[in-house]
Amino acid sequence: MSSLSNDYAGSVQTEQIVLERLEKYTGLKAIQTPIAERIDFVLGDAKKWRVVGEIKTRPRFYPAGFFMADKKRDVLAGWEKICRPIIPWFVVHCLENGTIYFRDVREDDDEFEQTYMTNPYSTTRQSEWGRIVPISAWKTIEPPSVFESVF
Amino acid sequence: MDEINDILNGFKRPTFIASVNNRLASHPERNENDILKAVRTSVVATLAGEEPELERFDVLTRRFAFWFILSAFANDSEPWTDEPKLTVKSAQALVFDTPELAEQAGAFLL
Repeated sequence: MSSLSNDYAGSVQTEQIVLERLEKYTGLKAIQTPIAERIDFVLGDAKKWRVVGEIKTRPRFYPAGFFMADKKRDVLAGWEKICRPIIPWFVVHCLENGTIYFRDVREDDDEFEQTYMTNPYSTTRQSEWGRIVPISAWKTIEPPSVFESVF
Repeated sequence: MDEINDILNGFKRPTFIASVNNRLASHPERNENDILKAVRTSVVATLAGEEPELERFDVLTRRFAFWFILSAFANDSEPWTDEPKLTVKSAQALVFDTPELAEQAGAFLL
């Protein structure tokens, strides 16, 4: 899990579930990145890694959109340049509706309002600049149905 | 090759990095594409916790790639400084056949 801000305390437990759903959605293998602090996973295989990404857990659904920190976007975009060709994803797991939201951080977000956000889950007072990315701007992976999850 | 080794041995002196880069830029055997491939192979495999397959790159290319990573790190360049362990381990993987260079790279984490 990232050491950057806006981490929800329960995210460690759900991260593996998110990776399993990303694997199913993409058909690629997911690997948690044990050596990195600010990158949570890569997707692909030993011959070609295709996605590098970060997972954030949000306990509630925010109709206005989800916050993406500028620093986090810069980190992922920086590694994309080094590891090219690889796609940098910022992934949000919303616990309230079970949906996974993901976005290529290279996509233009200048039209979204920049804001200064304080991390409500941090024990220390952490604040950082970023943008609220509207729900419509994210790609989504819907939660598995009850039928799928049971059978 | 001896010249490259001498330069690499001085990588802990960041003030010389720019002049070293100037000298290396005109090296007759420098292959920019292969250097970038070696850097990427090492970084992404290390990120995934795998052993990078770097034997296919010749020793000179791997040393250029080693220098590429560590000189950026020593210059406080992003994204290298965001992930010190990843950076150093990626560099060390490139000099798997030269333990003394790998050890020097490890000094960055001390």
